[in-house]
Amino acid sequence: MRDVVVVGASAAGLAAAETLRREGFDGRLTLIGDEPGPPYDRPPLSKQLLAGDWEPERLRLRSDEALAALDARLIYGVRAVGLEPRRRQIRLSDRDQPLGYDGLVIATGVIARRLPFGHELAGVHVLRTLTDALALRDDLREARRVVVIGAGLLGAEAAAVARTMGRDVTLVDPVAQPMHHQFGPEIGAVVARLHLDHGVGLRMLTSVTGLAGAGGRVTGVHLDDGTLAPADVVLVAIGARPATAWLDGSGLALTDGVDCDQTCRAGDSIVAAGDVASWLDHETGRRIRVEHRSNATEQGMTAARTLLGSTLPFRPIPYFWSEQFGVRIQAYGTWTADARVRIVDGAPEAGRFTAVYESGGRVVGVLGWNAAREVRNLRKLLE
Amino acid sequence: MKILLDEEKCVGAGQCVLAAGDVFDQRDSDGIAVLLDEHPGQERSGAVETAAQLCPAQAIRIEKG
Amino acid sequence: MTAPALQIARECPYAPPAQHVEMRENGGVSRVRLPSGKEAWAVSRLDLIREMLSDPRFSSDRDNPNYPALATVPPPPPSGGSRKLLIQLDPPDHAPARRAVISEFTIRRMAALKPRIQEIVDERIDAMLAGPRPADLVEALSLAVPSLVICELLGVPYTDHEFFQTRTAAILHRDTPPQERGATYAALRAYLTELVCGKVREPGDDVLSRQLAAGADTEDVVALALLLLVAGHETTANMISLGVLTLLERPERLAWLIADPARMPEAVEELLRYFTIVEYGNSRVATADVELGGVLIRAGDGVVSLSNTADHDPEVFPDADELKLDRGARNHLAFGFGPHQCLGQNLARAELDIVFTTLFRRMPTLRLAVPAGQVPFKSDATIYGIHRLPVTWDE
Repeated sequence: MRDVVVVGASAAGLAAAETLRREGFDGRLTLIGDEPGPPYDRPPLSKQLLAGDWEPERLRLRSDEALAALDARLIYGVRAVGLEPRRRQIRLSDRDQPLGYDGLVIATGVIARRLPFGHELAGVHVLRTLTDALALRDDLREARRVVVIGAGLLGAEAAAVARTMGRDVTLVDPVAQPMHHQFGPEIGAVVARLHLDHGVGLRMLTSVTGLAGAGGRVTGVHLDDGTLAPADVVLVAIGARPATAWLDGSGLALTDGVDCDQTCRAGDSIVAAGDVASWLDHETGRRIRVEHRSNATEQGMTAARTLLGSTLPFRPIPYFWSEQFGVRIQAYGTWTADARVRIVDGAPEAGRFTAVYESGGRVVGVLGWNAAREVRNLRKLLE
Repeated sequence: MKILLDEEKCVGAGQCVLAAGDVFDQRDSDGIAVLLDEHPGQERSGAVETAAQLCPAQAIRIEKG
Repeated sequence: MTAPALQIARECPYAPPAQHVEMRENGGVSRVRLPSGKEAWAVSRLDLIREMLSDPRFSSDRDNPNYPALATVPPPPPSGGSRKLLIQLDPPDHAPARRAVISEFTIRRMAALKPRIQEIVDERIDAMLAGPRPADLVEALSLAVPSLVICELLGVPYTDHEFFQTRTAAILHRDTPPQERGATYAALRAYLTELVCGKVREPGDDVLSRQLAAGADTEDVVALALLLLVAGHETTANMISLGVLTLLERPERLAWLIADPARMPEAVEELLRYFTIVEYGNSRVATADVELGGVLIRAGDGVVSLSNTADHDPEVFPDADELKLDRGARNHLAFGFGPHQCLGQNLARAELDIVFTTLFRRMPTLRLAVPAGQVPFKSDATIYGIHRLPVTWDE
């Protein structure tokens, strides 16, 4: 293998590129990203960057020197638009000439989902990229009333930041509790309490039916109970879909992002990693796709090793963390809707607790609420 | 209470022996920890939990019940 | 925006610097500037340090150019020649290398060594009692005991003790100029090489001979000998000196302590926590992007662990800045954490126990020969300790 192309220049793509070099790959390496600048870290977008505590420079994943040391061709602001695995070529948005490879890493991430309406109005935002976050931050400065549509991880965090900035904030979601899909109903209720205690207006079990605007700018959000939530800024945080449009017709299986085997292999000399890639779980045989930061790095490293001939399966213990109103939540594992949650130590009222999620007699997840020390010990239950 | 000891992880610091010498020992041949008592009585739970917490390699797991 | 310079020196022997405490209270992961001018992270909370030291994505390799070396380290980490030392190995190389020597340091093996340690301590105290007053405890006891115990372990013939001791002292002395230190290392390495080769021909009952018998080659065994020498020497010596000073300064607690020898192990543990003398020794370099305490540590970033500050966290150790000899807390970082946790910790515990017990029993009138305020602390060394401890006693 003399020529590896990594499509996607964020955490997973970067980890793959670095691992290739660290494991001795000395051929040609190309890293292609569709965003205008060098790799940066996304979790702070809905936390410190949005709050104005950090500037974009601090999100840079690598210094110029570290990137130079990669000895790679770095191509920014260019999208991959097609893949022909039999010819081992990809097509790029900025040139007619296809780019050849003999090893390919797909790490194109996800794209924010949008509502079927309303995005033409000024003041309506999504939050996925640095550009998105800076635009939202600018708009929040002048805003009085903010509606966040979608109470998942991103929506809950952004709502907390906007509320901390002193804005009137309403959080809307058809589920019963914020972060229901991540944490289940019991812990979701604790998140709800946290937001209510800080003055966030919660509109749970509520759907959005339309956006109201005047003069090209959003003025409110129509809800399915017939009311209108007034807003001068709206964040649409209703999830994301894998960025696989460029792979349509390539022959790769795309049932959940890019389908990989246990080792992150997606096809002949093709591996995939990060938010875009699903893999077969070594033990359960279930297909898993994870959109979390540390998974991107770990999967990028495994994918690179697979490309270099390793056959070790990808067996992470998924991990993510969130910060809302100064509360730090950390969670390990992958749990499902049927999991039962049990508080192990502390209490939600005390502002500090740990919980385990059990399913089929096994611990499938652990969670710490302001309890980093304790949750680290519980992590052992998942090994 | 059932104790699971991962010998592969053990780094032989001996912390478990210090914390609960009636439950853990180190093999003379290689210094790796061994279990003297896989199911210690409830009265040993404090010492065993200390051992699990102190183990620098996090090689000790306790199953309650 | 440049990061603040990491304060290395302790302002007070008994508490971490205010800067470190502030960092611990502000989340525990802070950006700092090292004496070299390079930036790194400083981690100051016990749970986060434990998390880092358990995480194989953080490398111990001191040869990594990004390893956060503190320029003022005395002594410099000895070079293992072409071989990496145990303390700088990462997975998967570390486990088999460590496993090859664990059996030499088991609790049982250390218990078996205790009578010999007792003899060594008694001999040193005999010599003190027969010598002039006042005496420097550091030289007379603190450095001598661990040095002689290591000779015992390594199988250094008794006739070579003096050569061995003067070389070791020169290496460990902070004022030794770098060239001289280098030359002394070379001499010591040459001596150890000869010693090891001698054991190839004529094996003895010692660590080095057993390593050779198990198939290790001479270069590996020399590297191991150097590591045991440096790691097991200054550290224990400093703990002896600090412990004696601290107990002499607290006569009521000393009286309580020596009233029952069974109290000593817990007291040793508390002294280890209270001083956590290897306060920067558990530093690492990240080999991947890792989230730690809500902060992204990027691949290639150095991380300094502020272990002493973590060991003075009142959230973990109530009244942490107070010495409570019966505290009974062993979850400190004095010996580090993770797979590299000090191999010789149970040797250190045995030495400290025997030295304190014997010294205060045999020299009940022992006292400082200078006001406590004049005791010279190693305030700018990365292994904390005392340079000299003048003591005297009644005949």
